[in-house]
Amino acid sequence: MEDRQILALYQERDERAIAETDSKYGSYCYMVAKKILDIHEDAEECVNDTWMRAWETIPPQVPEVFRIFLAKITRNLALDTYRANTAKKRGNGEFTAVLDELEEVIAGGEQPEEALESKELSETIKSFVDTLPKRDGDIFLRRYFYMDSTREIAERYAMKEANVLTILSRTRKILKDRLIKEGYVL
Amino acid sequence: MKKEEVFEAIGEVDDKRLEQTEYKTKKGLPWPAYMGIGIAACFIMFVGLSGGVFLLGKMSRSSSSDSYKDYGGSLSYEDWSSAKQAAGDYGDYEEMYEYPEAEDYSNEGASYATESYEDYDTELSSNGEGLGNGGTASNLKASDGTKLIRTVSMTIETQQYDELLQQIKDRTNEAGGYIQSSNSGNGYYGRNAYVEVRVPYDKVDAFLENIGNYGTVKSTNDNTEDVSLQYSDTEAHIANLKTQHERILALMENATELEDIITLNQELTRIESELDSYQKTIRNYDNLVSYSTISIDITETSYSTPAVEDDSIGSRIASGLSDTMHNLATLFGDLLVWFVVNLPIFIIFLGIPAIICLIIFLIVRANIKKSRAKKLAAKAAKEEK
Repeated sequence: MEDRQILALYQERDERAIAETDSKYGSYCYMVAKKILDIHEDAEECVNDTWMRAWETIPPQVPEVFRIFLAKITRNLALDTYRANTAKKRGNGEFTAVLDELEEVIAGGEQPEEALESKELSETIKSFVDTLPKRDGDIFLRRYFYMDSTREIAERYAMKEANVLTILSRTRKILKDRLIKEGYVL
Repeated sequence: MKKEEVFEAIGEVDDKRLEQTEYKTKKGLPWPAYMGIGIAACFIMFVGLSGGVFLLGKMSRSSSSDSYKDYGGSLSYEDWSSAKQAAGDYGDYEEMYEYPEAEDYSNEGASYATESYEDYDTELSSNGEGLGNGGTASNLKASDGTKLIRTVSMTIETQQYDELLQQIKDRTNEAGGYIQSSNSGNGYYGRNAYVEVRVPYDKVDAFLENIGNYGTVKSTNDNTEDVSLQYSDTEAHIANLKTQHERILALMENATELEDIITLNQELTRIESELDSYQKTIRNYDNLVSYSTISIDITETSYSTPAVEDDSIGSRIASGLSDTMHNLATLFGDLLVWFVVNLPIFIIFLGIPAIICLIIFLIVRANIKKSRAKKLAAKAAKEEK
């Protein structure tokens, strides 16, 4: 079934919408969740929660790209689960690595007293991604949105893993400079 | 600010932008593969072009008789002369129309000329009774006032090369004709010959009958030209000139002044020259009308294309396909031979440059890697400081 038809079912409040979404994007969302969460059951639950969240938000929301819309929900839900689980255990290795890398971006400086709004940070990141060369931006998002391993990225863009690492390192440095400049990191 | 917040913020990037990252770049091939493809492409182009030229050459060779001119060989002269002798009447024919000797003319002057043209006239009216069979044909045509020149040209592919040539000779002899010219040689694909036969007009059909039994007649061109009008015009010119000739002779007999005699003599010379020219034309017409020309282009083949027996689509397709398949088989066989024969050239002109390019590439690549490593090391050292 096409996205347009599935979204129409959501609008009509037809519960088949969930089954169709699960059938089409179940494995895709599971893959996103599993990158953050180490445990299969957690990832499965996260995916089920994604369908519930989608059911609650459509309408009024009208997703621009349905697949990405679902991925974002899964990602956020998985992050919440990760946070809840952090006290007990660590998450998936890839996700831990991603977070460690992102720590570089904010490390070395003190945090401002008044934390800036997270919405503003999102805008900064968006604009930052837009300023990057297309390929560098793609690599950055594959790594920090989809949590692809550097090997997967290298395969996807037909380049060497070492080049991917170099590009990611350079991009993080640029992001750090940007965050310092805009006052997120002192 | 926590790292999770940055992670969350990245999750807010536009859907469209995120979607763009999902397209995969086509995996590139390793560079030796590109090099191999390049060399292979060059080679295929080279082979293809050569094959095309080769095939075109072959096709034009089989369809054009001109190419046989290159083959210096000929049917044995004895064969040719015996055939000519068999048609001995032809020799008489030529002698009969021999123009009066020039010395006679100079010695005897005007009186001789009158006599000789009268003789010619007599002979012309009988129009070559000495021609034998050919004369008969010509007379037949002359009797109804029609002068026809028939020319036939044929292209024959045969597996019975010797038999066909012998058959042509035999038939020529039987018909009382002669072989006007012949060329033969050994081509790349077998022997070939070009034979031009002159056969009395009324024997042409008998000559051509069942000639296809000895091979496949690839093409036949039978052309008949009516030259009656030109012939009668030429005759009228001759008659007119003769009248003028007689008048001048009469005047010369009465002329007393040297100047008049010179002028009349000049006029006489001009008229005789014109007469000569027209008479040659008439003789030429008589020859062509009496003896038709048959040109046969013979190619020996190991394979003989089935002739198109009727004009139906099926028959033409079958013949064409058979021809194409045979050409293809020959082409691939010849290409293989050509490739193996030219292998040393490929090795020298393609293999060696490819190896040189490869070595240069490896050296450049190693240098680039070295300089990169140096830069990274310097950078790392700087950062450590």
